[in-house]
This record gives sequence, structure tokens and C-alpha cells, in this order.
Amino acid sequence: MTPTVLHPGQGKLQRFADGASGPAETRRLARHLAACPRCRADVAFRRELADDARRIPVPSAPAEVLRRVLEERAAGQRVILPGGEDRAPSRPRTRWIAAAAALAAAVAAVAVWQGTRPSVPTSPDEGLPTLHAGWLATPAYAAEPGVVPPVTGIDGSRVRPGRWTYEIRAVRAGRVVGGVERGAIEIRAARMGAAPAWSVSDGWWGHPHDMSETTLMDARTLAPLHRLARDVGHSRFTVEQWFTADSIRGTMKTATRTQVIARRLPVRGAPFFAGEGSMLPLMRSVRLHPRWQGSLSTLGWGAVESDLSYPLSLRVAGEGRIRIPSGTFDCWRVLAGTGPRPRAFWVRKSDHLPILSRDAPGRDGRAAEWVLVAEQP
Amino acid sequence: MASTAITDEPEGLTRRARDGDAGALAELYARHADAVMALAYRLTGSAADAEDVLHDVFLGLPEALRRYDERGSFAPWLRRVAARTALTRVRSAGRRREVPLEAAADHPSADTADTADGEGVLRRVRLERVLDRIAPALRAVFVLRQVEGYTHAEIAALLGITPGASEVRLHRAVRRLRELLRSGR
Repeated sequence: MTPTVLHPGQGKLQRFADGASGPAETRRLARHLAACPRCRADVAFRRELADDARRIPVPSAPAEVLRRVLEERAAGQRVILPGGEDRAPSRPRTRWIAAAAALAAAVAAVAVWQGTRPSVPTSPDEGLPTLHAGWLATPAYAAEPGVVPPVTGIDGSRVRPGRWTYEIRAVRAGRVVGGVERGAIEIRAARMGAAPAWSVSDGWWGHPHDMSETTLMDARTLAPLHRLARDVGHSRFTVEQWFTADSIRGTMKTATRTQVIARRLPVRGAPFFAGEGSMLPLMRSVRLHPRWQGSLSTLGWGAVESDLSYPLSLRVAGEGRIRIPSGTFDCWRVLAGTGPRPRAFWVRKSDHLPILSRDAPGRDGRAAEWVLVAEQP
Repeated sequence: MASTAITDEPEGLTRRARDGDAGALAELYARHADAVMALAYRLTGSAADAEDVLHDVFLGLPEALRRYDERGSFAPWLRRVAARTALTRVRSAGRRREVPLEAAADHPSADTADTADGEGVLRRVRLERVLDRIAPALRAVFVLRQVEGYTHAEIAALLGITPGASEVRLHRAVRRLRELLRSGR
């Protein structure tokens, strides 16, 4: 009869390979390894793996980065970094959520929110479109909830009807290096049943999406009431949503299926805004000042559970005189997002109209820019 | 820490950087940028992403220093900030990247001492490629433990998980790397 050999567990072998075993454990493992080629090979593999990983060449820090950092700081650019403090371990029940939060505030914040309140069950939603990058409603700029207090003082009576055309283009070092899209936002007085509302339509044309949507917002609070969105790019879908105080209901229609949308809104994150054009009425409805800040959430399509809402924080970070093709204006500089690469909006002081927005430049120095090119108040 | 010594900063350097002194920030860059770049590269697997992390860390450093307790050591604190910034980037990018063999082998700062060790170089090229194919959460623990020399308790504090969870992730990472290296994929 062959004797049973009890091999050490992975944890013990790893600690031994790392030289982290205690004296007694080291002696026991050394005796076992002397007689066990399988475990010897395992330990050798672990040591070689770690040694190889440490010897993978790494690039050195370019001096050009420091030059860029100093120039940007001199120009007033700032970012908010995650902290260097230790974090307390999470409770086991929500461990995966907390781990995700530790890894990344932006995306994980959405998961934390949705973990606090279950959605109304829907049919399987794999493969359905989710919100793509837009002007305000951009998942990449989602913030950690609870850091900044909610936006207050929204007064929808300050909103005015009109039509504003924007060009979306790529810039590098202040020069336009590509223009890919053009779009317009139109605000009209409307009614939802008997209730007064603002109808906010926006359309964006260019590769890869031709996108249009109309959102009815409560005339006083700007809370979304109804949204109809069409994407006639490669995704080809239509979304219709009705909003109540705590939920979204509606449908998403694609070429091959119709998905019912029925989801509860997160318990935190109000006020909620829907539609890429919502930045415009939002800015017009509040009184900005040098210390103004507030958080809100933008709403996704909701057909996919992870595409329900995106917390976002906004704050006035400065002021300045901005020149665009249609003139030179005194503006507030409003930063959207608390991550290391926030999007900056310049909001005209005279009427709180966003006239320019710009992403933080990528490593090649290019940044996407939205600039007002025409207005018909 | 295995790969980076704790550096005591000259008196007042971090305070001057916090107060917006560009010279102090440049001095901190000279002392710590390579370590930040290396950590960011190992966590993101991309020189371009690592450069962006390096940029963001030093752009935001003066403001971040307001949260720095000067009684602690600066270098480990900065590395935690850099690690979190890099991990945030990995997660928010939400993408996995293939590293072509030839691109990895042609790295500009490849250790010249390795050129005589053809088998070792090839092994490291393969490892770099498969590291990019394991889950970011596993890669993070593997890099922090096996390359950067953090303890499981330190990794746990950094990621907001328990030390046990960190150990489990390391086991999974090693198992997955072994599978990928053996399969030659």
C-alpha cells in the first residue's frame, strides 16, 4: 500500500518561497521539500516568477512630464488625488464592493450605490447599449458619492428658451487638430400633462454616433419627467423613459429586441439629471460664486443594471476671460468630477451659459473640447 | 519595501511643495518620479498610462500633501497615492491590453545585463505579456506583494480588503500565471 503524502498548502509554500515562514514552519517545510520533488518544483517556480517579475524592465520618468506639470500648475490646473492613508478592511458581506471601491472611485462608486438598494428585476440585459461618453452624462467623470453635498438652490424659473450650437473638436496646445462632431441644445417651454416643463433637446452628429434626445424637465426643480433618445449610429437603439420620484420605467428598442426598463433610483445621489443637454439648464438655474459646489447624478439608459446612474460633483474652481469664435466673455471655471482628470466647463457669468468645456489632455497633449459656435436666444 | 528605500526628505521640502513652491516640487520629482513611474507601469502594464499616472500624481501632489502627516515617511505615503491613482486608472479605463512580444522585448530601458541571458529575457517577456491578461485585482496584489514588497497587511490596508483576501488573491494570481505560462498563450 502506498503511503499517503500530505503536501503543504499553497499559502505555506508561498510563504516559504518568500522567506516569510516562521522558524518552526521553515524546518518542517525544508524536511518535506528535501523528499518531495513536486513541492520543490513548486517553490522554485514561485521564486522564479517573483524574480522575473522584479526584473521586467520599467521605463524611467521622462523629464518632459515635470515640465508639463509645472506649466499646468502655473496655469492654475489642479487635480484631486486619492489619499495615501490606510483604509479599514471591509466587512466580509460587502468585501467585493469595498475592494472595487478601493481600486477605483469612479466606476466602483456606481456599484456601491446599486448595492444599497436592489433594482426592480428585469429580464437579462447582456449586450444592450449603455450610456456612452457625453457632455455632462459621462461615466468616466463619476465621483465618489457623499464627498460633496448635493446641488441646492436650483430654480428652474431662471432657465430661458433658446438654441445653442456647439462644435466638438480635438485641440492640442491651444490649436485645433481635429473636428469630429457638431451638436445643438434647444430649450423650449412645454407641458407634461398639466404641469409646466422645460423641453431640452440635444442632437449630436458625427462618427460614431448620431444621437438625439429630448428630455422634459419639471419647470421649477428640473427633475426629469420623460426622456426619448435615439442613437442612429452603429448601435441603433431607441430609449423611452418615464421618471417618478424613485424609479425609471420605459423601454429600450434595438434592432433585435425590446427591453423593458424598470429600475429604482439609488437612495443617494439626488438630484438626478437626464440628457447630455442638462448641463445647460442646470448651470442657468443656480447662482454660481467662487465657493460654489454640489453633487448630482446623471442617469444612464437603465436597460443594463450597471448603467443606471453616475454620481458627479461640480465646483467652481476659478474665473477668467475666455475668447471663443463668437466673442470674449468673463466666465466661471467649473470642474466636473473629483478624479485626477476632471472636465472643465467655462460658464459665462452674464447668463450662466456654458460656452466652452475641455477634457484634461491625454498623454499626447490632445483634449476634446466643446465650444459654442452659434446661439439663438 | 523590497524595491524602494524609504527616503527622508530634507526639512521643509514637502511643506514647501505643499505651499506651491515649484522648485520643491521639482526636487521631489527628481527624487521620486522613477519609483512612481515604475510602480505605475507595473500596475497598469502600459508606459503611456504610467506616464499619465506620473503626471497626475505630481500635478496633484501639493494639494494631496495637505493630507500628509509629516510624522510618517514620505516615500511610502507617495507610493500609496501613486498606487491608488494607477489602480483607479486601470479600473476606469476598463480595458485589457495585449502586449506584443516584440514591443515588450524592445523596451527602451531593458537591462543590458540581461542580453546574455536569452532564456531569462524571453521568460520575462512572456511573463509581462501574461501579467496583462490576468484580472486587474489579481495583478495588483501580485505586483504589490511580489515586486513592490508590500506585506499582505499593507496590501489589505491599501486596497480596503482583509489580509486573508490578499493572500487568496495572490494564490489565484500565481495559479493563473502558471496556467497561462504553461499553455504558451
